[in-house]
Amino acid sequence: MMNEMNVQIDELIAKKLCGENTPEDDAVLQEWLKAAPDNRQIYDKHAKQWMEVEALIKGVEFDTAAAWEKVAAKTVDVKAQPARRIISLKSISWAAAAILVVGVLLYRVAVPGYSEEVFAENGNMEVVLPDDTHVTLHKGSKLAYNKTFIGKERKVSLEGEAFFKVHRDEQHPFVIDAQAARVQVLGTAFDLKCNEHAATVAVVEGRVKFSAGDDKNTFVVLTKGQQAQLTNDKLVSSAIEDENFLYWKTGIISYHERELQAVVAQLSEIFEKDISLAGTMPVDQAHQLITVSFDGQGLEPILSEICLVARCRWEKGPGDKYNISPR
Amino acid sequence: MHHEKTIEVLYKELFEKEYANACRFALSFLTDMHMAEDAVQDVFIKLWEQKPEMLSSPGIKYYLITSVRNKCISILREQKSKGVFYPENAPESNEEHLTPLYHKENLSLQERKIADALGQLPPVCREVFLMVKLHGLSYKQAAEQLEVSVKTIENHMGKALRIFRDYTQKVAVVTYLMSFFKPVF
Repeated sequence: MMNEMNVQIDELIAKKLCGENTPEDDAVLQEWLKAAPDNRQIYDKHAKQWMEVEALIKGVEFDTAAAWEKVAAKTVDVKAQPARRIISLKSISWAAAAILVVGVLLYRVAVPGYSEEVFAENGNMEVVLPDDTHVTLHKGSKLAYNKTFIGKERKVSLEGEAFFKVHRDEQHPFVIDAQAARVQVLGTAFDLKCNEHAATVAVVEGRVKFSAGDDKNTFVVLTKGQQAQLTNDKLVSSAIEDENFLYWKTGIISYHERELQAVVAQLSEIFEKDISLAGTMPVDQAHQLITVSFDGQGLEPILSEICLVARCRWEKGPGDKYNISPR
Repeated sequence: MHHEKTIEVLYKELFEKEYANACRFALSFLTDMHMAEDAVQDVFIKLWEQKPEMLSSPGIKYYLITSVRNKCISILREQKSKGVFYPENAPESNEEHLTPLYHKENLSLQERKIADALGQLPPVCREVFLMVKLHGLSYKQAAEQLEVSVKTIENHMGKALRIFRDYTQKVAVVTYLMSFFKPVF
């Protein structure tokens, strides 16, 4: 009985010394401290010993700077690898080198392209890949893949925009050659938009590694709710600010406390129409916060509803231009 | 919200922050400073080569601790299969692979002291103690890393406390006795 009590007290003291104590623990410990005058001394002794052992461990010094030099030479400083390989070629006989070069050439020719190609010509398309990955291809975009995924990576190529729901397979990374960028995932859901010069990724679920096309060392890892943009080989990441980035896929537009001005600007972009606020609109009206959502409606019903909420009215002028003015 | 840190910067920061502690952790398994450093450097190089995407993950510290631990265990296993060590006076344990190289004779005084103090703890208990005291993990985080309950962590920490007490008492008695012999030397 006494022994069990000691075990419990030891645990409580340890918790206290680690800052893990709860008010209940403190109550029991106080009780124990008061129970016998020696107990306070026992506690203090423990605290001292504990610190000594800790100090002993932490007192061992390691030369981090020297170690970094060693490790850096094998990691971050290894970039000029191709150059190194050329030098090493010199050490082999020229004949061997020639065979190697021919071999490399043959290998490159033998690498197959993609056996399947899908072009979403007339509208969005749903594509299911051999690994059960679901892709929604935005109208006008192109996706290429192989009928069966062979090898370590599941490779596909994208031009345009698509939403990916990648089937999880940690043994076989899913890699997208996205023109200017390269995206690597294990199993997640995200939107990817790309052209030859730029790319944008917005992550809905899981983790995505997003890198510049050829430069394997420039990359960001994004998680749920984050997005990144690649332009001119520069990567910039941020939180997803636009809740409607999937409008093209879902047809849903929703605003939560968004300024009228920003709402109008985005609608203009989504519907590819010129929509503007009248110069007569007071500043605070243009900045009022709007919360509203739409599912599949056309532009004009949307404008009508927004005007109802924002106490204004819209009219269509010449050249399909929309103008919003105070009521 | 442009938080752009290159992977090189993240890697270097992690290294500078965690290297020494990782070595201390490895030292508790291997009891040799050079071996500990080699093991930790190896883990860092592998991290760069194989899991660079982990660098921006909030779990990187735990990943590192676990990797160092696994690396040390595999080194000890290898040593054992080569018949390098037979720890006769090592603490009793059913997880032999966690028992460090106590037989090594050319330890520095400091290495010896640490090996002695930590060597008093059973392997899992030692690991828990170091995760909390050296790496600053909370009980809950340590429990998650080792896939045990928080209560188990509490047991181990209480046990560590008790063992250190008994050990330091023993050392204190020896030191006390030694002081009588001093004039003789």
